[in-house]
Amino acid sequence: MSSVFHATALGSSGLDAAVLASSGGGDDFAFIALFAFVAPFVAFWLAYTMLFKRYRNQDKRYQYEHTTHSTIDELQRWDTFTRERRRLRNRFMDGSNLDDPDQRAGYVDIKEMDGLPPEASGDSAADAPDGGSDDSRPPSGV
Amino acid sequence: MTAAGAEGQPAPQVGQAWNGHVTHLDTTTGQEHGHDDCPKCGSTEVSHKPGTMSLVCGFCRFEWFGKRLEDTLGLGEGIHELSGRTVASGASQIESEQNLVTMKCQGCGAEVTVDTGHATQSRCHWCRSILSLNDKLPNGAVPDGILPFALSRADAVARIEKFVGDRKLLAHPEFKADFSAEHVKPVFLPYMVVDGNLHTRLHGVGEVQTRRYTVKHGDSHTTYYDANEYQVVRQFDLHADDLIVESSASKADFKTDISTNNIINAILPFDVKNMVAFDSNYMGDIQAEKRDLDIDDVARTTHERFLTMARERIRADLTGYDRGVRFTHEEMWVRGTRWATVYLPVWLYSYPQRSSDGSLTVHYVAVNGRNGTTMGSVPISKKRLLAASAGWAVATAAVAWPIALISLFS
Repeated sequence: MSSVFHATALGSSGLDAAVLASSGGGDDFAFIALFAFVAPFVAFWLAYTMLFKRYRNQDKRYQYEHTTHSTIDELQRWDTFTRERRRLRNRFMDGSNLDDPDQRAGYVDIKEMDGLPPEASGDSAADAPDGGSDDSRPPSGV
Repeated sequence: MTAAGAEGQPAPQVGQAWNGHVTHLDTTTGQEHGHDDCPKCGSTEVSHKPGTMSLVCGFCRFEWFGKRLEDTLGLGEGIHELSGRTVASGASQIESEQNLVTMKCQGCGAEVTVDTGHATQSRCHWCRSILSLNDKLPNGAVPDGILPFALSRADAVARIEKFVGDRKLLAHPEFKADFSAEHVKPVFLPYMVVDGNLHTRLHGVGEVQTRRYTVKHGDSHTTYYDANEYQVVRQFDLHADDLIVESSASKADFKTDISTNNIINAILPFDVKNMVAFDSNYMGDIQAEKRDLDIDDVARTTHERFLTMARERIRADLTGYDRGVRFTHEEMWVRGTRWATVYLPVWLYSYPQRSSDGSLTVHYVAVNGRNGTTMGSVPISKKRLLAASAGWAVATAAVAWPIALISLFS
């Protein structure tokens, strides 16, 4: 019983600690009791969220990243081993945004290049009429 | 510290328009506004033949097709060669706020005014012939292309009725009382279609799992993972074809707490490959919303969408990082873009809802006028939503709380 109330007071991280520290069948029952007690509140929150979403569809948008035709060329890869990490508790790495392509990284730099007039092709000076610092050539590597 | 750049020019100001090289793509017709006759009999009673890409003469029944812009202008070709901005005439900068255009009727000489904010045709009140806008205007009212409706009104009404019918249980009582799908209206909304020649470089950190093992602590077990960490860089060219971008300010705001514009956004994409050169006869009496955003206004949004596309495209190359990749730096060089404007067909049901604090939210149910994709926002009754959620909670409690009691006293 004491571990149950301790876990409730600490929140989920405390709950993990309490569960890990559990050492008897009685505490397992206490955990089940806690889970069953909280379940209706979770069900309320889930139902509210799902029903609101179904009616208002505020999360729906144009899936342009999936539906717009595009091709990739000249793909270059660099994969540099940096270190080995041991005894990690999570199945997936912290902060992975691989599956969230519309979530911007901490550093974003988008440069619209000025373009070359056809008659001036090959003249890189003509590419920067505004005196900007953009390099009109693609980056040469890392 | 100097006030001038390397070439002696002043530093660009915040918000200053892009100043690079522009190639113009001429989609003007050179025609005068006024009659747009049937090529066979000269009648102005020309209309869109429902469900097709054809125009049909109401007098002699002659049918003909509009010109596909993909064929006539080569849109979709040469994307990898785009440099700077290539701008079709209909996407040129808006230089006039003037909506009223006066046309001289070639039939009787009368002067007829059309409000280009909503329409591109008007009927001469003297001789009854139809007068059309036949060339581009400096106010953004005439796009380069148009996709006519392929979905009938009956089909759109049925889809909206089904969509709302599936959500009536918890709908706001006033909405339920007022709802009639017969009030659906066809409308042409303005968009830009953009091709992009892009170069992208992405930096990040990726992890590959090397070992998974479980350690016993007393009676419990803990799973641990070992992993190798890598610095990941990907650099590639991306060629994007026909990204669709909103070009009406009132529909480009996606703050879902104050508007439901995301609903109209969600019925995209359209088959813009099939768009034909703009012809007012495809619109007829159907209202349109005029474009009021320029390329400079939507460029940032467009470029970020290109960046999102790049991130999505490279995912397949990184599946080896089974613990994930955390991108830290995103860089994109927009080498060249091509812009054209288009009217796209939407069946729209709208319902304005005034909340207790006086704010107004317009809820839309929208149907893609080409493929029938339907999306909507149905006003929901807070009381019914709370009651339904409480019902779920009570049902769960009826099962879970006895289990809790049994567990406690075991």
